[in-house]
Amino acid sequence: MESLSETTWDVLISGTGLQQSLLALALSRSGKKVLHVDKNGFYGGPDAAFSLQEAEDWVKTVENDTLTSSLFCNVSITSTPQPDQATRSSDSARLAVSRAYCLSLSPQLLYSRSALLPILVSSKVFRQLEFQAVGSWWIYNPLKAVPADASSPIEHSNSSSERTEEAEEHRRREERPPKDRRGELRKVPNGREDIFKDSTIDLKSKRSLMKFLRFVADYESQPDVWESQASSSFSEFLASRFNLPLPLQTPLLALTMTPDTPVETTTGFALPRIARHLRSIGALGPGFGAIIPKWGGGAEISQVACRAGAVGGGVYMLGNNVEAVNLKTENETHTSKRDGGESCEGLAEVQLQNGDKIKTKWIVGSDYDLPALKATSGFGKEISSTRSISVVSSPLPSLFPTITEGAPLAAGAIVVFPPGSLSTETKDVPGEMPPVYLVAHPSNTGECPDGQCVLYASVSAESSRGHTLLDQAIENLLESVDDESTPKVLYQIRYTQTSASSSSDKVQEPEAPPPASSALENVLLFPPPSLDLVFDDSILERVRTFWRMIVGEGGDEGDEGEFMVFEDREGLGVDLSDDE
Amino acid sequence: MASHGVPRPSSSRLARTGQARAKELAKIEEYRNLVALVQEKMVEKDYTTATLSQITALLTLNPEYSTIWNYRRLILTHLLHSPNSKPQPLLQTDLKFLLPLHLTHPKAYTLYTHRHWLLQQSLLLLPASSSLPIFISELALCSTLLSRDPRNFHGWGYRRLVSEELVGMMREKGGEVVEAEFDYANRMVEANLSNFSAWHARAAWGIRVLDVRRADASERLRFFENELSLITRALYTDPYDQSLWFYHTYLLLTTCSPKSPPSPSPSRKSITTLTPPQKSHYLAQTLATLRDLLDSGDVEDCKWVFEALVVYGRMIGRVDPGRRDGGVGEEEVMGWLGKLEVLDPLRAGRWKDWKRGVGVLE
Repeated sequence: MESLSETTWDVLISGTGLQQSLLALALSRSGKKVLHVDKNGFYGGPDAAFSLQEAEDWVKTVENDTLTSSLFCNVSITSTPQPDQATRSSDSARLAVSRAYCLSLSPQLLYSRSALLPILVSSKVFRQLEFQAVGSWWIYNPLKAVPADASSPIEHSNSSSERTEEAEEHRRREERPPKDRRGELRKVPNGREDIFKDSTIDLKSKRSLMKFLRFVADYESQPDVWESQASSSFSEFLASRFNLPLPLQTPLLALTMTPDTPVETTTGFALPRIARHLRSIGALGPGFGAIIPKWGGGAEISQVACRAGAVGGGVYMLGNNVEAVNLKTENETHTSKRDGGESCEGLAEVQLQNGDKIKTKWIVGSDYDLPALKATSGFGKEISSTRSISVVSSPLPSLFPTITEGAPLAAGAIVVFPPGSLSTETKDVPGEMPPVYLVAHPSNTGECPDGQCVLYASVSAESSRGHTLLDQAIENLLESVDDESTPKVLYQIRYTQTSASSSSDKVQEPEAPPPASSALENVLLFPPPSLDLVFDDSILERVRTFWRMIVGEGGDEGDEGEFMVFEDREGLGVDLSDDE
Repeated sequence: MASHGVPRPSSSRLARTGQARAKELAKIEEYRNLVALVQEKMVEKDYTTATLSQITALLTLNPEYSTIWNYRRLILTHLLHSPNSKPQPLLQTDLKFLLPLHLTHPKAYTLYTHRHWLLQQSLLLLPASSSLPIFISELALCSTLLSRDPRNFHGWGYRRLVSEELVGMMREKGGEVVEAEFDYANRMVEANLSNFSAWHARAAWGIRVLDVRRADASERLRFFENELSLITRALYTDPYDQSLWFYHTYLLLTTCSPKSPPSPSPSRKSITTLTPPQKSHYLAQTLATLRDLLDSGDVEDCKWVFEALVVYGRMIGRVDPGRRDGGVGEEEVMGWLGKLEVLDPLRAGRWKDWKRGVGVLE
């Protein structure tokens, strides 16, 4: 077999995180010689998914690797001691074998209208992926200590099934021991029908909310209403422009999945995100607007993309690191022909960990995959998120009610703990606490066995305060669930993840040079993975820019084929002609 | 979009390249030959299964060709009534044959007509024990089709036919079907408030439900009040949705208009019977709600609100002559009509008539 150094490579990609993997996918039909390496023994990099054993290995790696710990720090695993085989406990109260779990570092949800979906379709890799619907959004509402049945009035209904339901619910409330419930979950209305059904919203508030929803549906064409307040607080905007008091603002803020407090969240940030949420509902099926890829979210997409890269001729090496890079200019003339010629820059020489020295035209990676090129990150100031991944001993069925008539099973639920809903022991002023997000993935995501559930928790706070908040949120959630006995956390990975604050509205123009690669024109750097709980579409813009630079700026895009538009390979795929 | 987002297979797609065009011309020829063949067979009165399968092929190509469906029924009738015929497998096969056609042509009248005919045949020719499961599975099919396109009135109409028949077939248990249908309509409304068909079904089954529950006057009144509060809640949520006003109008006109039935009749069409003071009470309540909506300040461009105000404003004075505080003054009504002229200029003639006191909904 030809050794790696005998080939002159077109592209060396370091790292199999989601961004690099999507680029590999984009290049998979280009005929370019791609060498794709990753220092880890697994695919996915910072977006990977782990079995329990792999998680433990990862923790050890992170502790020893200064580069990865620039992204992940304070990593630890706790697991509750398992009850004896002899004691009678249901299977769900015990951790199953390591391989039964697929805990993801990238559980981002994809909105129906995300730009990623058409790309997955046109590149044909969608066939290797399975997607599931995200169901309800919930808000945690702390209760004052009141007896169990003082709750919202039952709305009268004429439908006999609803009346029996109401009677049942009433009876259950009477029968329930006056548990000192700390709080309850309230569903976030997803749109008009939810607002209609929600008996806790009075008529006037229904109108005000609807008025806002109407506006948001077409906010781009009404700049006079909001543009002047784009950089001021969204909370202020809702109060002043739409007379929405804080209790009504909370569900709207929850829909934005903002990491910041209501005051810090700007109108310019919130409006597009709410619009995206509402416009996505129903686009892929009734009642839901977002989906998650089965088997580990972003990790699965990375795997599938790399597979496509390999099928396209790319060479893959795991467990191989880039150790040193030497950029030489073999050509003396510096005129870079941007109008169609090849780049005049010469080849770079790269030293790999396994000893190979290779030559390549382009180098793609990121700060944490390319040790030799630790350029100062021009991506923005550092931000961090404290996170945990927990395996819970119950499937938490109350979080996943039927979405609606004719909708698929829910496979994801979001629980938002708005500022002030968690009492912390520190002297935080309630309004200054950031919101906590718990994303629940039941077993049909493939991430855990039946009878259990995975909770992905995150909060935009530093480690110790962050974990206090996360722990309390998880405790409150488990306690508020309607199970006979409170479910327990069986296993938990804790960590803090950092990123840069370049947000999606600072997308680079295709003509501009790639960010943060100093004077090195053939080194393309991706920013660290976004901390957004929703897939960041701007990733695709960057991948596209890099792809265009690598395949050459033929004046006519038709020369190099369209971005991510591929034909089915022979022997694969079905005949999609719809003649009949 | 006329098809509620369900794509209609394009029958007007032009073949562009020479090869595709030749292919299409060949298909057209094949089709024409098949039509000629079938017609020949029918003239010869060749009512056999062989002809039937040719008809099957033809209908698969063009499910909207009504005449061919008639041919099919002719042949089926012949086959069904011949000695040694086995009606059940024949009917079931045909029902199955229709299924994929429903998916590609969700709005074809012919398919539903044929289905209905098949069901009627099953009632005529099969014992109750065999036809009942057919009807039950038809109802399930309706649910499936309606979940793909909840606003397909063909689906709703057919569902009505099937469930009506089912009510009769279930005899004493027929009431369960009625409740289930009312419940289904309710859930479809909750899934999408703009579903005219669902509201209509809800109205129709609502009346039946009251009979099934043998509701007395007070229960009927309570039902009416619940409905009114439900639709009011919906109107507050979205006063711009016409289907909600349609249901609201149905509720009020069938109970509170001066001409609504004074006493229950076998073909009663109203939920409850109200006395004149009751009528004006509910009308007054409605007017208060409408005014409240106006006050909230953001429905100035919603013509439905003004139209409702005029209708009920004029009505309240006429339902209960004994009422002292007369209701709504003419000046106010004129003001609302003025707004209507601005908001809905295409109906200017109508508003003018109403100003003259002519033709307001009775």
